[in-house]
Amino acid sequence: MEMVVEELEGGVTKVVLAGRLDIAGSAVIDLRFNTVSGSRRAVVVDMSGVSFIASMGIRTLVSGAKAVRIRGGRMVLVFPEANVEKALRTASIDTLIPIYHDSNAAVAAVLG
Amino acid sequence: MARTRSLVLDRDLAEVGRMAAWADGFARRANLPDSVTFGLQLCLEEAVSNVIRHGIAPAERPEILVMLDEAGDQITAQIEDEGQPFDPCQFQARSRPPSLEDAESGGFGIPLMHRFAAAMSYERSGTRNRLILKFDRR
Repeated sequence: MEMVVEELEGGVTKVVLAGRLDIAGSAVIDLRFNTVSGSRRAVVVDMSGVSFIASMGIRTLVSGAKAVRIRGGRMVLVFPEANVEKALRTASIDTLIPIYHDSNAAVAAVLG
Repeated sequence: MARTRSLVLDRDLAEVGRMAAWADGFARRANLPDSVTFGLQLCLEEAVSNVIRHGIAPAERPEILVMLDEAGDQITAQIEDEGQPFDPCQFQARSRPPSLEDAESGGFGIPLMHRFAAAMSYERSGTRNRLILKFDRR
């Protein structure tokens, strides 16, 4: 599991995830993801490279989104693969962390 | 042609990765579509991690047995252990949380299994838990 953090214009942070967000993958990124989430107010998580997600991965995303929210910020997800998106929607994550398939719309959403 | 594979796991979350690689090999040999492989992998991870995290087994029989069977257009996954009785089919999904602040960070696993498996059943056979998950090839 890989995680790359990019700072975009306007104070937006882009987190690019790639690999399997399963038990092992979640354990690899949990600390860094929570550190980034706990210190940023506008976070776009690029899910396009995530080939698999299970409940532990969903837990990681929810924990991060809550950390951003506590600081008055917003987190959104962009470009999840179809099966990953099906899992996220089954867990009703899309009602808590909005899902976009458009980068500009995602950035606009986190900037509020 | 029907084919069955089995794998014995220790009660250790590190074993879930070994199971995923094994199940991936099964899916490739069976030429399963990506969406079916995804659902199979997801359900196996949720079922086995539940057993490891929540099931208390007698010290002399700690193993978890996972079997995969392909017969025609149906894939069957069977997970057996000797932990305390636990029927995930009885688990009721929580209602949607109204906000992120109210959301809990867990409890997603069993609803995912219900969604991605075509059928899910549980039986207690003597001292064994047996969870059976079925997937349609198409």
